[in-house]
Amino acid sequence: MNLLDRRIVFLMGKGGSGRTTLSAALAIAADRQNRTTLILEAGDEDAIGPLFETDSLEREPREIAPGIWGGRIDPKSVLSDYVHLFVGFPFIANTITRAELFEHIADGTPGLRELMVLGQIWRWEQEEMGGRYPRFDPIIVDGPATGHGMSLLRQPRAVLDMFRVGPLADQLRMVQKMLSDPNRSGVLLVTLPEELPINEAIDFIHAAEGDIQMGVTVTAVNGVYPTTFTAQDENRIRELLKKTDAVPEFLRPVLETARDQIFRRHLQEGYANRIREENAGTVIEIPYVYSNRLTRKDIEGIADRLVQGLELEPKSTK
Amino acid sequence: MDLFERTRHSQILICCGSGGVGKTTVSATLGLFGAMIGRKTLVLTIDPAKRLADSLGLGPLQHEEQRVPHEKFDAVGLKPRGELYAMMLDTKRAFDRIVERHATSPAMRERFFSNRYYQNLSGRLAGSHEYMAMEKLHEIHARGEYDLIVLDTPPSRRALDFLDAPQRLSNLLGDSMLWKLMKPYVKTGFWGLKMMGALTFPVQKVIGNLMGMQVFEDIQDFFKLGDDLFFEGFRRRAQAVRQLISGPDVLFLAVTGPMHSPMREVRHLFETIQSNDMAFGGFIVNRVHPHHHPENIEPDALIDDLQLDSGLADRLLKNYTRFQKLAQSDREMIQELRKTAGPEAMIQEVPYFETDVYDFSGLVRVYEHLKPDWL
Repeated sequence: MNLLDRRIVFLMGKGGSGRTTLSAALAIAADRQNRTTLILEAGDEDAIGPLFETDSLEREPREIAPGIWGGRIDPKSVLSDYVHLFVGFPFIANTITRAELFEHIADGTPGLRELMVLGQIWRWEQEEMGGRYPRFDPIIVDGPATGHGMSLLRQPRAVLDMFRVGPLADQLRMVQKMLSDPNRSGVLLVTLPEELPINEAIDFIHAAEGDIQMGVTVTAVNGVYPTTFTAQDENRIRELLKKTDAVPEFLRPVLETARDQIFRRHLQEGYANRIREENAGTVIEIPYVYSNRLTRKDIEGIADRLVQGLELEPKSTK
Repeated sequence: MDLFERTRHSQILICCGSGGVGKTTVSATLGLFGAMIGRKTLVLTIDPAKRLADSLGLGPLQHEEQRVPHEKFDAVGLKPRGELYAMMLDTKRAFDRIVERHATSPAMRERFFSNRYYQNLSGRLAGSHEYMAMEKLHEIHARGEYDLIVLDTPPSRRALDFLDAPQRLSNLLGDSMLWKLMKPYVKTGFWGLKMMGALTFPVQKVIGNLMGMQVFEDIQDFFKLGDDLFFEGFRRRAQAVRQLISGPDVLFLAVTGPMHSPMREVRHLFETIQSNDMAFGGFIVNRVHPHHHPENIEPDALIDDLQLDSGLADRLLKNYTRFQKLAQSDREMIQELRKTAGPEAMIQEVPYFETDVYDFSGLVRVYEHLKPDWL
């Protein structure tokens, strides 16, 4: 089943691996399938808005590009909404959510924040247009860095042990059902072709299988150098660098830059192959962008790569 | 002033920055430098990458200080005048130690350990890792066994989490305000609590209903576990930790890469450290692409001087231009950082090596690159 046919796609990956970029690219890829996408940013990050050259996302989803909606999940305000819903009397609910003790318990209770995030996602998943079609399909969740991301997905199971009865426990069960249904939830793991990120990605795959029983649907290996040089080129460059007197000083950096690129490119290939040996789902290599600031065009390029890697049927534009 | 010059007299170095920028590498390199100049040095890390941990001689389950064996140095031809130790922090264990320290009786301690809310709390509380790292730092520093302690802060998306952590935990565990709020209800027992809650203070009731009464009882039990002395002890300790990290023995270092978002994070970090009157040592920008001269090369130069065919010449230049552009982009990011940090601030660049740094020889490579000439 294709990644984009799932109702919710969680993007997971270590900080700095390009998770937010991939979230945006996936939204663009979904848009090309004529889907209405909701992209969600959790917590106090603020990267999605600028990527789409628009204002920071707010709680209420708004259209940030044609066919692409963006929203923010703020666990604290979700929790206070929940209290309002539960209490029914705005005055009392306000007193409660403003009380210092509420703050303490909300801060200190393990997993409460994660649960609020998942609860909010669940509500958006349930939302329908005209009572028939889901309003958003898919919902793309730009998850927190791997460690925390894992706790986000692991939470319902762990906390159900604590919260056995009560309204929250009921909601938890619904959330758990949503997560463990492979037709509804999928994981896109983002990693870099480097030693430490690949190790962490492999740890994530193992933990996901064991702990949360959610397989990784797709792994994006982000930032792979293009194969610029042929094997013949490589030999020629190596030979030239060996003969010090054959190369004028001002041309050495050109050859050395090529040598380093080739060396890294081989390393990257090895790392990508290591992740292929795991249950990493479909592995898609995303080409390196030679800049610290991505433009919309760069992200479109990554979306192209995703469309190709996910073997999506091209659809006519809207 | 360079990185090593700046840090050579500090007792405690705290390396911060968002995840994935190479904090552990920088911390270990600073530790290596300390050991080389004759200081007894400890690198304290939370969850180092497995291979880096192995390279420092840290096994997966060892949470005691381990000396980096001599053979490691011998193998790379280094002769340290001091000693290098490394330690991986077990945050769960550190939490238990706090309870052990402040518990006023063995029975109180046991009740804590068996409380379900505590078991969950100690493993997962937001910021607890950060706090435990600071707490451990305080403990080791107080023992006075090391000339230098380098703390590699826990991986978090937000580099600043550790600054609020003492406050947050202190709020929850030791805040007399919370304790006073809960105590009357707690003292009168469950029914007292339920009645008082329902009548005068709806918070508990709602929270109880929301979560299920059983959870609430666990939480309530949790607050019954300690006595005034326990919470007071904890609160004082949190204050002492806060004092230590704002004190003169500590120097903060911000680690980043030249990419947009970790740069934004360290700029923010810098401002927060400044506004909290903490000592800021400077920035370390990791993995910077080197800029080469000349800027522009004509394909003809390659074709004529090296007798290359035009296809390879084009490919070589295409590759060269790409990396020059990247180096330029890195340089712009660093210039932007300079604008925030001011002309006085130390910004130490570490080049992008063609392999990743994840073992002892990798560390030595970074160290060799940064070390001053006299060493």
